[in-house]
Amino acid sequence: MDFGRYGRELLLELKRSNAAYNDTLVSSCLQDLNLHVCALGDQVAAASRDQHASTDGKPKLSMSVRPSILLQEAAIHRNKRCLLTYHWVRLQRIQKQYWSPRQEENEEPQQLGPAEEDFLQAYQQLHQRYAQNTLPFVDDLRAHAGLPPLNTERVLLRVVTAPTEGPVVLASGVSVEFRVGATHFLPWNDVEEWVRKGHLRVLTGEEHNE
Amino acid sequence: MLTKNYFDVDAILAEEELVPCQSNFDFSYLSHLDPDERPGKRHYLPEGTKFKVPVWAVEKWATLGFVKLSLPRHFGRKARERIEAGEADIRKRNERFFIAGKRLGELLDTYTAHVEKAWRRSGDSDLRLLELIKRESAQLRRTLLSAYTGQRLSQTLNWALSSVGDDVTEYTKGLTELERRLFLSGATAASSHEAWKVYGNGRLLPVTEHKRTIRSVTPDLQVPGNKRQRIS
Repeated sequence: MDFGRYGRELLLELKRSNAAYNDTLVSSCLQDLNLHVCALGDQVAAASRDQHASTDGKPKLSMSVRPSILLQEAAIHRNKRCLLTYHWVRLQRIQKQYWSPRQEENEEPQQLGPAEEDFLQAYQQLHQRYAQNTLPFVDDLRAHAGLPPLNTERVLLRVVTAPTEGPVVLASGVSVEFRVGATHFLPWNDVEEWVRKGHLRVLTGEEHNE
Repeated sequence: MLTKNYFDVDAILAEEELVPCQSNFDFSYLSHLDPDERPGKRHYLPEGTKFKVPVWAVEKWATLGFVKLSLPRHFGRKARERIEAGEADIRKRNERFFIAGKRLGELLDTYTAHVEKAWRRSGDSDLRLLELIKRESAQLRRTLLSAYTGQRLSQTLNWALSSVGDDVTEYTKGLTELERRLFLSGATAASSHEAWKVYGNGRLLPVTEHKRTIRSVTPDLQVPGNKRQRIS
């Protein structure tokens, strides 16, 4: 029984790499947890046999045994937390792998255990069923997850350099003439490209008050 | 109880920090905690024994006044002075120095609050020790704050926002885990911004945890962004 050692190793493995599910270490951690549960039960049973009456007449556990009982309880919670965190983090990575199948530069792919492969498959089927039931024209939610939503929200803009000469009619039908230093309130869809190129600057509330 | 930190790997590992303690009475079944104990000699830890246990193990004991606590050496007064002078390799002392230090400060505050209440009730006069521990805890917090928010923070932000395409290994190897997280967030945001300036129309992704190696942060200029069809 080593207080928290296997839990610590599980988490260090998570930080170090995208290695496969470590069944051996998880089993060791579970075994350690069970040993602590048994030790706790034994100590409480032994202490209950030896308990003495306190000044108010109610039986109390001996002071000397309380630290050990509390330590066993802390070790049980510790192992539980490490196990839950290990599985939670791996599940987050699997879900991220589903939504972003293109690998990031320098990123190792997450290696999956058999149960994790089953989870990924079930997760995929869940999304496909959702797509079929709610969005019949969508084959794969992931293809549309990468597209930005159409943003018709209007933003406050200041003209840094005029992107066009003279008046222009934007895609939304708004007519505008850009003069350097002027401020406009226009749909984001129409002006995003000019903002990106630096012709227009988006204003926050504070800047507008200058 | 599940809080937002429950699944935080760095917060869990930071609680492995060993805290020097001294037992206030005999502890049954815990003789193995005594570093000088010969196996089989005793079945209990005698009163006054000095030993070290992780933060997660000592928290309940501290709340109930079973032990006297003190700070680990690399969070002590001399170490703090070196850190404030900028002479210490913080990551070498503890990879999760700031998280562990914050946790230790919380532990000491909990300890002093509970023990003070109990001692005032019992009329115990050893409150000078508690005042000393409160001062240490306050000074530790000041050191952590000044170390984190000083030159290190401005350098980290500067590198994170201006290092797109550069090899940042040399800089980041000296950062603690908390600072690395901050660096990665900034670098990812800067990289996404650069990609947006080139390709536009592609979605500017919110900053999330990425398991990247911290060698370089480069926008993927090989893959064209999604081009949305405008209906005009």
